[in-house]
Amino acid sequence: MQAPGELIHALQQGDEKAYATLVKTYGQMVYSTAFGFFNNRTDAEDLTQEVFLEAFHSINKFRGDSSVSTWLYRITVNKSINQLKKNKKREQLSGSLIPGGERTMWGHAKSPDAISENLERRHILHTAMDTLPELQKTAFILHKYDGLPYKEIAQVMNTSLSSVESLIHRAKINLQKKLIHYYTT
Amino acid sequence: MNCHFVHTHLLFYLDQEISPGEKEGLETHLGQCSSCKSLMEKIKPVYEQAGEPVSPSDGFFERLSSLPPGEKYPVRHSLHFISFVRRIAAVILFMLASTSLTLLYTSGQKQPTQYAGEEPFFERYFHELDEELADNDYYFLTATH
Repeated sequence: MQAPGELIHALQQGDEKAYATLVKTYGQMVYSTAFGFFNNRTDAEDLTQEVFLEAFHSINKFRGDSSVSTWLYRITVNKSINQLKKNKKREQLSGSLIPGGERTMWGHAKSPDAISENLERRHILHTAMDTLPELQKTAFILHKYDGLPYKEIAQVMNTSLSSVESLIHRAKINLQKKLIHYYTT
Repeated sequence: MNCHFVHTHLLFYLDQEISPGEKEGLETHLGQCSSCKSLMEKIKPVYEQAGEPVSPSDGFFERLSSLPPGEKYPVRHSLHFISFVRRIAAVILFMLASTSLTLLYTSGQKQPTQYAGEEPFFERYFHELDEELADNDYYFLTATH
């Protein structure tokens, strides 16, 4: 396995094998993060492709100030947040066109169409996560889905360690409220 | 320890982020309070979904890594192609449908009625024209004499 520095150097030289190595080494990491944001395989795969495309095109801008994984996490988080904003706008537009099309927060969770219990549970969790503020959600995903230590989350989010602690703490309090509300009403 | 404590520390308990004393108190309360116990039983598997490993479709990373660097969206390209084919098919179907409708309409239309004993229009027209010309010949003939 190539060292990250060598890998970056090879990528900057346009080495095709290095690109394949980058995908093989960091693909699962990028996919897990994207899945945390989208809770949807198709969107997560699409975003993973976009992340590697972006990484390839901007490889010459990578100066090695951070690790390759931190750099890729940053691209993934930024792209995911932007895509979610676009999706939200699209949903609002289509929702406004459907008369009486207002959806409840848990609209799909109690649907009998749920394929399995686990899918339904995941949907409940993600519906609650979707109500979190952007930064809380990002910190929570990086912590729970990727298992990143707070220090690395701080690097990815370009913030302090105490901010990350606070964001994750508040994310859990908010999630807790939403889940309790869902199961007690 | 009461229900309020459980409601405010539930996820922290699941993440083992409470003190041993708090944990013991919370577990004692869960043993006595059926509604808190039931809540915990429902929320625990939901919250645990966050740590569950997720995987893409079969062969996704192989497909992605085998692409030439910078190659754009193989999935979307194929989707664009399918969309293009669908559009072409829709246009062809529309043309076929409109042509057949036009043919049906024209074949169903009534032909001009021709009554028994009546000369068809053009034949009558030429017949009248012949008669007119014959009259004129007669006029010229009579005029020259």
